[in-house]
Amino acid sequence: MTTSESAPPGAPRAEAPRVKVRGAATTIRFPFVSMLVLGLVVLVAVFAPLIAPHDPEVGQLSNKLIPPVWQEGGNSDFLLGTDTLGRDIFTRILYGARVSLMVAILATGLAGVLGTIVGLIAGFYRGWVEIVLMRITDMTLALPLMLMAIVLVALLGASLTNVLLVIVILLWPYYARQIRGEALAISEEDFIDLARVAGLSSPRILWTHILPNVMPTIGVLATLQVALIILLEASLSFLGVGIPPPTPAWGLMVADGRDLLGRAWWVSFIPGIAIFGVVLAANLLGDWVRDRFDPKLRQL
Amino acid sequence: MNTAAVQKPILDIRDITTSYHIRRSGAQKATTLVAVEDVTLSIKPGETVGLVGESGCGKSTLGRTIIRLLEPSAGTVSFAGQDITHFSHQQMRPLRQEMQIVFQDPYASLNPRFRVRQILYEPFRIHGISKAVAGQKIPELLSLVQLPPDSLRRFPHEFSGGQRQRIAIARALALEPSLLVLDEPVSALDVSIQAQILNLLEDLQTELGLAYLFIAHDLSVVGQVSDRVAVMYLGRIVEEGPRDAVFNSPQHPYTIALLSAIPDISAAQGQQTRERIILTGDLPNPLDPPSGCRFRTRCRRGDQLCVDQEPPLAPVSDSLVACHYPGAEDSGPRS
Repeated sequence: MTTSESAPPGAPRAEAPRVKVRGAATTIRFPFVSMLVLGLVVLVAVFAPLIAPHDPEVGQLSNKLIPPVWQEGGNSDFLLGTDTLGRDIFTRILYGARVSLMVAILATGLAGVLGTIVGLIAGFYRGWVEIVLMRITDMTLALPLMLMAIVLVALLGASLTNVLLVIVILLWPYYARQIRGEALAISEEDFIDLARVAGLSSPRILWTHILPNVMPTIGVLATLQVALIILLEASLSFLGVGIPPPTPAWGLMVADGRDLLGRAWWVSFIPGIAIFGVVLAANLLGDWVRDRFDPKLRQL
Repeated sequence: MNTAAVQKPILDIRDITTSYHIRRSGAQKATTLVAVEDVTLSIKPGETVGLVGESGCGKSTLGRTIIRLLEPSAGTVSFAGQDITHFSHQQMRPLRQEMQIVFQDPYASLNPRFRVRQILYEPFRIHGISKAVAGQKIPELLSLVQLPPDSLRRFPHEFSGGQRQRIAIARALALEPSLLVLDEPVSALDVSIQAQILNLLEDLQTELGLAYLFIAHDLSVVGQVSDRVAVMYLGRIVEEGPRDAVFNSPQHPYTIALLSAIPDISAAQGQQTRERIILTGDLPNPLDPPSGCRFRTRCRRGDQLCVDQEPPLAPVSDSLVACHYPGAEDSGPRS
């Protein structure tokens, strides 16, 4: 920003924003493509029953392993081909978006709420409360995720609830740590003392003064984690400890086709592309949100 | 001393000691830092008491103790004749309307996510005053501190330091307190803005009959606004008295040194002026204060008595002075 001053006074004003600052993000451009991809995924997820040409969970064995329409032997009835059970992959991709989005939204929300509450309380009340909460946070971070997931599924059986549980357990500590740090800093500000002098009780100070000041951080963290959650859910499902079949989850679909890669590449490859595209878009959006809204960057 | 009996003090603190427990890295046990020790002070309605001292002498700690942001470890704080030292949050609530504080840093005093309207409305909301009444009072507050009415829907970052300090003052005045603790209210501001805020504070005092505890490290500012002045050194009051007595015939060597540091225009004009005293050394470590008189390590008058005995705050002419060898001139023995 400082170098923009060096432009000669007569220079046209339009050129000013083009100045590059070393070490800083030069362009914070709105990620249109990402938004387009994610918007499409949301639409598809919402309207899946209207768009989908077939049943997502039941197929006919006589239709099994039909290749995509552009390949030899393809069938315009099954745009992206079928899997070993004769289910339409296009339909399953559409419904799979529902699973991915639902897990992403619920897990982000639950982990965010849990982590924020823990972080706020630890950062504001300090003392032994903080020590206990932050040790629990550290212990949670030390849990091996995949082992945890396998143990949980062995104990409780594979289900959407257990996938959510595992992901929330894995991700809330990141919120707790970040929010604790910020709550700590904000608690030291004079306006918190002034609220106390005005007669506000501690829980209300936490709610009316500290929470609004950590909201941007929560938003940034949540956006950054959406991609991670989608990837986690896919990994868990791929390993067979996530969403149970026959629900059309993308990770599960990749797993279904892993023995057929030589003969029928589309069974694994197409859901793989779906995961890749959505995660990439979510990551790019997350980066943009962080650059745009991170309060520390904004203060510069 | 006579005038004190005439009017009952609004604030009366007796033998207040406030300490912090700090754990130094490597140390096994927490050490105690006594920031304020045995301070006694009273403020009458409508009076301004100036509290001066260098950084780290405990003046802000004292201010925060008075306003009950910090718990004193000993002594009593009485407000309007009522001992509030051990009041709970619930018991303090009605009193919060009566005593308010303005801090030094106008950038940290206002919640950056609140609009000015919310900042000013908060005290009313906390004390259950209806929106209608508050809606009437808030514009009055704004005009009291001379801010334009359209400030209400703006955020703190849209204002300058001086304007923010006006907002902080307006908020402190919202519930018509009778005591305002001003903790270095102008130190962070430009000199021209300082004068504006000081004038504003003075006008508000005559208009509303406020009592001020004016904390500052700048003697000339304190001299401008105070009725009485207390000088603090390393957690203790070393001299207290009417402004003119303290400024014209200071008795404690520390006060004398402080006053000699005020820039004097007559010196620049070549006229005879008072001797300039430059204190040597730093403020001693408050974790390990010197024995006897705390000022002795930097004093020109100290002798064995000062090492052995802590001087009590005793009347000398019009003031109270904590020194074994008080006096306007250097009368005591030199070491």
